[in-house]
Amino acid sequence: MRMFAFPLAALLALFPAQSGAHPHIFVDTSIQFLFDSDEQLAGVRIIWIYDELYSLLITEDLGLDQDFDGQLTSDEVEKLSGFDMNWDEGFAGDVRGFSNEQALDLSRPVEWSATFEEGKIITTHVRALAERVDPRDTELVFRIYDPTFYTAYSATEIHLVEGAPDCFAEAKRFDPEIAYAYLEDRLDEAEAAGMDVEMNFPAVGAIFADEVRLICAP
Amino acid sequence: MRTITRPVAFGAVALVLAFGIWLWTGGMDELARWAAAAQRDVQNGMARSLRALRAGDPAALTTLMSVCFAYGFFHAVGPGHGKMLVGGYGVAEKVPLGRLSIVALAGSLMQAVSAIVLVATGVWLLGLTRAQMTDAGDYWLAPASLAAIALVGVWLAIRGMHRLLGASQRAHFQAHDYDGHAPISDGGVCETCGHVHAPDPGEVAQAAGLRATLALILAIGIRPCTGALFLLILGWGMDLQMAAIAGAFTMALGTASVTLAVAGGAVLFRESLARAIGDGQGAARLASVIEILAGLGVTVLSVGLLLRLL
Repeated sequence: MRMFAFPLAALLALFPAQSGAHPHIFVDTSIQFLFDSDEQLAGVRIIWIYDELYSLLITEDLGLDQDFDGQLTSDEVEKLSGFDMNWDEGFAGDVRGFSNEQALDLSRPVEWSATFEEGKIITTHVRALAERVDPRDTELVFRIYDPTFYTAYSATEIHLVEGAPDCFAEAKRFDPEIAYAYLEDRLDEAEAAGMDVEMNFPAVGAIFADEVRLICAP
Repeated sequence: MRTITRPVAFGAVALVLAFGIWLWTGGMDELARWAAAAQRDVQNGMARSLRALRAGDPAALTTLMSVCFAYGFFHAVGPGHGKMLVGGYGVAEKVPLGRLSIVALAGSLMQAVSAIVLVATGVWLLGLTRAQMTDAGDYWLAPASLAAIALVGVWLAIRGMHRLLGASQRAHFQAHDYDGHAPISDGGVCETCGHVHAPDPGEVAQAAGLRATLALILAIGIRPCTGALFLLILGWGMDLQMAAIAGAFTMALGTASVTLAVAGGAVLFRESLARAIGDGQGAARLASVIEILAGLGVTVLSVGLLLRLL
């Protein structure tokens, strides 16, 4: 067995790099459902509340809040606004909408804003539906997740419905028991296949998705 | 370890086994879940204490250090398999706890050092942005680390070969009058004098020893950990360099605490098991079987990784 001492020591030393460090960013998310005058769903406003460490990294990057009082001037707010709206072509915005499990066509972000409260950056943006949907005809679900799980989203905030008095939104958190068991399995597989999980983390994000469901009285 | 009685030894074996079984049967997920939830609080705490420190609250330094330790700890408890490797190594090999601990500690500390060096040179000499520095970690230091590992591997192989050739010849010719010597049996034991002439692979590995292992750790540690990078970049930006450096080392200690605990558990298990089953021949055989199984388990996991790395 001693023959293996060298490779084993090598692996043992890999330990600190290997402990899968995901997720790195935590974002509380809420959705506002936007209806038109015919009570058809026209779009959603997404509100992201970033964790304080990521918020600090961003304000430092941009040279904001240099008195560290947790407040931004209006000039600084202007500078902050849109920092997370410069989406790559393939980026789906980490919010996916489904009508009877058919993916909805959501626009790129519009009407964005940013604020800074108690050390947390809060941003909002609107995504319009390419085709309006009658929520009474179909089951509408929005799933919030980053496929790579670099960011962990949680739909723990309040979700609002604007312009449809007999509709309400209901959030359902992911099942941690299932999700973490799944994650462990994927990590086992990846490491058995000789993958460096920190560089190529398995795409487990979807199983960590919280859901927001729109429910309307018929 | 020598003073423990057999009942105590049985107890220790049962305890470590029970913990291992708990981990295998879902405990690992539970641990990961707990760690992920804690990680979020810890990140918020880190940002808060950095801001407080900047605002001139000296007590925030203590908070920052405890938060950094916690960050390292939860980081290490979170999903990932390294702990199993440490455990497997500690059970399979007759490595003393001291050496296992040094390896675990050095690995963590080296990553802190490389994060500090990266950020210090990045900010002072090159004026890099945060994105450029984290990219440097991923795209430059990760491959550099791999290259260094490969170099250490080559060095070890060459040294091992030298020892193997040199030692077997030297040992033989020096120890005996060549003409009168009995034939050497399997395993290199001289049939008349009963001692070993050629070193077995184990001895070679042992000779490679701590120094080689440390060289390897340093090579691997070239690649910094993301958490420490974030902390240091913030520290430099906020003019809190010393606090951030102290925090990076504290983070490393937090990570090492988990590895050390696993190493301790593994060595306790191995020693207690040896103690519990006594000295009989059956016991020795059982011990060997466990050694082989633990070693094989880890080896199967590891060889793939190593091949990919080298």
